[in-house]
Amino acid sequence: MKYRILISLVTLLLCACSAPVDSAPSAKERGSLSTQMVNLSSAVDTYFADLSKVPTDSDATILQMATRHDKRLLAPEFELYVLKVQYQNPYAVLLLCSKDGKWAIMEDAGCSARLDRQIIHRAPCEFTLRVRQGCQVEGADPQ
Amino acid sequence: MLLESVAESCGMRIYVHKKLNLGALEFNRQISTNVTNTSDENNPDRMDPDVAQLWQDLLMTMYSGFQPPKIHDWHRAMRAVMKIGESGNVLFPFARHVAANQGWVYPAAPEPQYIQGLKVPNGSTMDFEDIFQKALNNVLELWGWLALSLQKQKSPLDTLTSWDLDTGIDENNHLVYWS
Repeated sequence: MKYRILISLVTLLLCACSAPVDSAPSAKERGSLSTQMVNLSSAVDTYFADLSKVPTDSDATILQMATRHDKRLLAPEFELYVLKVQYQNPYAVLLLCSKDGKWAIMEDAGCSARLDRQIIHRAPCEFTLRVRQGCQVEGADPQ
Repeated sequence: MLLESVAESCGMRIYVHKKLNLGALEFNRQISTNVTNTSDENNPDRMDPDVAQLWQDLLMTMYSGFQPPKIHDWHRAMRAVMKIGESGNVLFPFARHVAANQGWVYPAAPEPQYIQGLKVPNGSTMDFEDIFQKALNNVLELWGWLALSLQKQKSPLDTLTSWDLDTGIDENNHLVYWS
């Protein structure tokens, strides 16, 4: 009996450790989200480029303003997740996280058509990319 | 020859897709997403009216003797082709299965012969990466020239010759980017 409880506990522990991130996208969803993310980060980057001062609006307002010319950029696929925006004078970085806001899924600066950081394993929902002068992105996945 | 060309195209596609970091190749929706983004917001089977008007005016200016192009038909056909081409999770594994049985396997990584030492129009060879960078630099240069023109400054665009964008040869029979 004691062994059975021990085995159950070990099994539970193993399951918990190898569990996928809650509401993590499937490979198919990730493919679609990646393309949408690259387009959206470029739109936010363009919006920031025209600002005369540091934005103080909420992330939701920034996203709405940046996509005012084409609402399709804020694709419905994003509604299942949390989207965060960071202003890195004057560049934009976007971070997509699980709906509960705990886990990062992908992160992208608006500098290129490349998705800068795909997060497959558990990582906290925190910005890690740093955009330097000339839109040089630090911290991106290796090419 | 055709198979070699297809293999070369596949090799380039794998190479570029990996660089773009957009997830699994099977589920890439980049082209269809961008084509769809040029759709009319109220009718995805029609092109956005402003974009359609721009194309129509450009084409009619260049080819005034022809019938007006059916821009919306082209757009609808393009979307239909994309749907077939990107049926991903249904068609792709099946195609892979068939290809494997035929001795063709879609490689996980590009094979060097399809991205290295490629023949280019001036008779030499270049790697795909260098060709891509050359093309990128050409595009950047042209945008720079356009920016000068828009600012009403002197620009190489002022004296740009007409050239065939399919062949890259200008009206003086000059291979513009490879001579």
